[in-house]
Amino acid sequence: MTPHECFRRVHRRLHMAAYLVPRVNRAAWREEWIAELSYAARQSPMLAVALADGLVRDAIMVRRLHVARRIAAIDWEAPEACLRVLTFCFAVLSLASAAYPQVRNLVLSRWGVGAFFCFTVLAVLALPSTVVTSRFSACKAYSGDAATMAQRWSRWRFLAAKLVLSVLSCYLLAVHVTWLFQRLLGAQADWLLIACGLLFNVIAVSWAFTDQRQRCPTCMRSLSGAARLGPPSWSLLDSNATEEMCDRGHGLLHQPQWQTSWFEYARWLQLDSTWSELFKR
Amino acid sequence: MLKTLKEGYSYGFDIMDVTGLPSGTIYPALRRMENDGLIEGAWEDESKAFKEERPPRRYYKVTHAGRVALKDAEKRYPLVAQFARPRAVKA
Ligand SMILES: [Zn+2]
Repeated sequence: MTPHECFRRVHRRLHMAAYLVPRVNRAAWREEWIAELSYAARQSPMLAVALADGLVRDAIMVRRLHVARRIAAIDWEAPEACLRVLTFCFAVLSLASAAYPQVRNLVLSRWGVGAFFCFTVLAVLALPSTVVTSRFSACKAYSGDAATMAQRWSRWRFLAAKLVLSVLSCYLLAVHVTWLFQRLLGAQADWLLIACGLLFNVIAVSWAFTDQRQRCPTCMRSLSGAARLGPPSWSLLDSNATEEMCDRGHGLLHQPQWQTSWFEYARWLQLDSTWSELFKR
Repeated sequence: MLKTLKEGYSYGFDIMDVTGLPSGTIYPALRRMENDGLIEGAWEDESKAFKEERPPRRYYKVTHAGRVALKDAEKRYPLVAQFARPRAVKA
């Protein structure tokens, strides 16, 4: 191989591998490699070619570390993370629907519109199921909290966004499932869509409400650090509950393990600003 | 690799020379160790590179956490201690 060929080969590899590196690190990464390659090329052009063998693996490692850092930086407790995950699911299902012409035509047809209407009705009918699945009333726990009007409003907006995104994702998922079995079931596939609609909506709607109840009413972050209170064997003699708290120190959610006459509903204990010192980061 | 870095081989290319490992192993490992805080990278003095008519290179040195990790590894695997000899410093 002539030195000119070596140089061209190294240059091509460097150019290709650079695309794998995240944009923020690309310039520095390229600079480091150019320096190393020119140092090696001064000794022998073939040495530079051998060194360039590691370009792609190094670029992949830089990308992997970048992704790992970004994932580690996600604040999973924050409401934004929850909405981002739901939006991602919805986007993936929408793209999957658009990718298959049969599914796309099914969604956009009159049948699709009718199915969506049916699905929305099923989602509304699924609402009472949350009374069974969510433990001892979601709303009562927060009736006495110190959240401002704006905070209350954002809480409802968050719940609505969760419901809309999860119901829409469930609809697309149900269409995909129905389409998969359409050949096998023929006209009976409509019943499968209704069955899927009922099942998926019950799961999605009760998840949305349960998740809402597990969040701090002030900042909407997921409550954490669940602590059990009282021995279970004393359930008839003493209160038996689980306590979870907001990691920003806004309050505690006290949930009874069993509904009793003296401890019927979950209670939210709002902590005032004097506690903030304890939760400082 | 930590051992070779500690002995004064500060560049990826030098570590390849000493260990005989390919660049596809050395450079990704350097990234990972830097990410874990075992080593830290910096750019060499531009004037030195300018004298040699080449771009400045990025060198790596072992951090305190890296030295602790190396000591731990040497205790567990005594052969590591004999692995690389200190680099001869040019006069
Ligand atoms: Zn909070």
